[in-house]
Amino acid sequence: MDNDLTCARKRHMGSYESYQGKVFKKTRANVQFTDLPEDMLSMVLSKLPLKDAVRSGILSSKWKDRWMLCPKLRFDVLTVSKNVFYEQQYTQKFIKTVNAVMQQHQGMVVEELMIKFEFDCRILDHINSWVAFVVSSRTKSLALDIAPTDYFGRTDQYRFPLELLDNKSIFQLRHLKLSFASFELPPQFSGFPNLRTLDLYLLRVSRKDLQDMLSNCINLEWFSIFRCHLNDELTVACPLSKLLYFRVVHCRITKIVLNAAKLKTFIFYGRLYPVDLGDAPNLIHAFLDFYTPVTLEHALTILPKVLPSVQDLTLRASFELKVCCLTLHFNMQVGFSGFSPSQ
Amino acid sequence: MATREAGKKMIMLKSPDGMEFEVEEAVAMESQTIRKMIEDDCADTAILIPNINSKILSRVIEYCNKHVPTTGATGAAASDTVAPAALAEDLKIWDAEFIKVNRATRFNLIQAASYLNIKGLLDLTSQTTIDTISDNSLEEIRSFLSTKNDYLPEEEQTIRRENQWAFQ
Repeated sequence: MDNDLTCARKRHMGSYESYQGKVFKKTRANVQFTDLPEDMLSMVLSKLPLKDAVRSGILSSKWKDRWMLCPKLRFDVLTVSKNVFYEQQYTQKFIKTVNAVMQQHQGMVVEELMIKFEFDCRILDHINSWVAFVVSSRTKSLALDIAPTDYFGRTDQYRFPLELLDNKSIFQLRHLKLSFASFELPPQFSGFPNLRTLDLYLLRVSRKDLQDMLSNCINLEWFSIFRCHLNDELTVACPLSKLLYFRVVHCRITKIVLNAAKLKTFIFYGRLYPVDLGDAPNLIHAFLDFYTPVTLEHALTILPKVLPSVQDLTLRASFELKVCCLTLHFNMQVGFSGFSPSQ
Repeated sequence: MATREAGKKMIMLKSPDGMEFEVEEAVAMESQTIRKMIEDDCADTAILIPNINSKILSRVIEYCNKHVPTTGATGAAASDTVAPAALAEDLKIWDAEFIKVNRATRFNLIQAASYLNIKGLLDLTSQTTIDTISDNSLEEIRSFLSTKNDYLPEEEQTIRRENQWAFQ
C-alpha cells in the first residue's frame, strides 16, 4: 500500500514539475489530520456514518465529544443493523437509538436530520418529538422518509405537525423532504421563506394547502413532486422566481400552472395534461415521458412552441402513425439537441 | 460554444511562494471563492492565493481543469444538469487516480478545497479520509490520527455503555 502511494506520488511530482518547468519547494510533510481546523474536522467527521462517528469517541479523551460537534444526524436501518431486509424487526431498536442520540444532542445545533425507515405505526408515536427536536436544534435540513414498500392504496400517512414549527425554525429551514406524510396548513402559516429544496413523495395534501405553501416559498430552487395525487389542478399564483429545477413524477394532477422565469430543467412523467410554466427563457433541459399516446404532429409542432428555448429534449411516448388503413403503435424515444423554433 | 472560443479570458493565480499560474477564467471559477472575487471585480490582474503553496495549488488547478463543465457557455453552475453517464464514469476513475497521494498532501488539499470553496474537491478529499478511517481497526485509526488511548478501563466501559447501540 505504502509503495503504491509513493509511486503515485512520484508520478504526480513529475506532473508538477512539468507544469511550468520549475522545481517546487518541498512542502511540510508532517501535517496531521488533527492539525486541520476544528470546523474542518467536524466537516469531515460529518461524512462518517453516525455509528462510526459515535465510535470515534472511544479513541481517546480528546475525541470523546468530538463526534457531537458533527452537525449531521442521519438515521436509517444501517444505523441499527447490518441486515437491510425485514426493517420492521428493528423498529424498536431504531426508535431507542434515535431518542438516545437526540438526548445527547439536546440544546446543540444539528444542521441536518435525516430519518429514513420503513413505515411502522410504532414510529408515529415518536415523530412529533423528533420534529420538536428539529425546532430546538435549529435544523436547516430535514428529511423524514418513512415510505412503506407497500404504499399502494394506503391513506394512513403520518400527519406532519406543521403547527409545532415556530417562526425561528420556519425561517431556518433550507431543505425539506417529506415522504408518506400529509399536512394541513395552520391558519396564518406564511410558508418557508428560505427553503431551497422541497422534495415531496407520496404526500397527501389538498390542492389549496399545497398551492398556498408553494406561493410562500419564494426562494425555492429545486422542487420535486413524486406520486402525490392532487386529483386537481396545481396553480401557483406567486412567481417562483428562483426555481431552477422542477420534477413531476407519476402524479395524478389535471393541470399545472407555475410562473418560473429562471427554470432550467423540467422533468415530467405522467399523462398528458396542460402544463404552463410561464415564460421560461432559460429552460434548456427537458425530459418528458408520457403514458398516453401522443401524435408525432403534436410532438413536432406543439412542443417547440411550449418549450421554445429547450436545447436538450428527451421525449418518450408511444406514437400513433397512420399508414394507409393501418394504425401502428410504437414506442419511440426522441432526443433533440439544439432544438429551437428557428430550426 | 461560440462565446467560449471567442472570449477565453485568462486569470493569473499566484501562490505565496511566488509561482504564477495562468488559467482560464472558467477553470478558476470552479472555486466559489475566486468566482466571488471575479464577480465583485476584485481580480483584474492577478489573484494571490494565501496559505496554499504552489505544489498544492497546481494540483487544485489540475482538478478544476478536469472538472470544468464542457457545455453551458454561460458559465452557470452545472449542478442541476445531468452529465452523460460515460463522462461521469470517466471522471470517477480520474478522481480515484488523482487522490492517490500521501496523507499530508491530502490534508493540504482538504484545507485548500475548503478555503477556495470547491465542493467537488472537498467531498473527494474528505470522503477518501473517511474511507481510511472506516476501513481500519481502532489501533490503526489511533495511529492514523496520532492519538493515544488515554482512557482508564472503567472510563472506556462507561463510554461503551452510554452508546451501547454503536458498539454492538
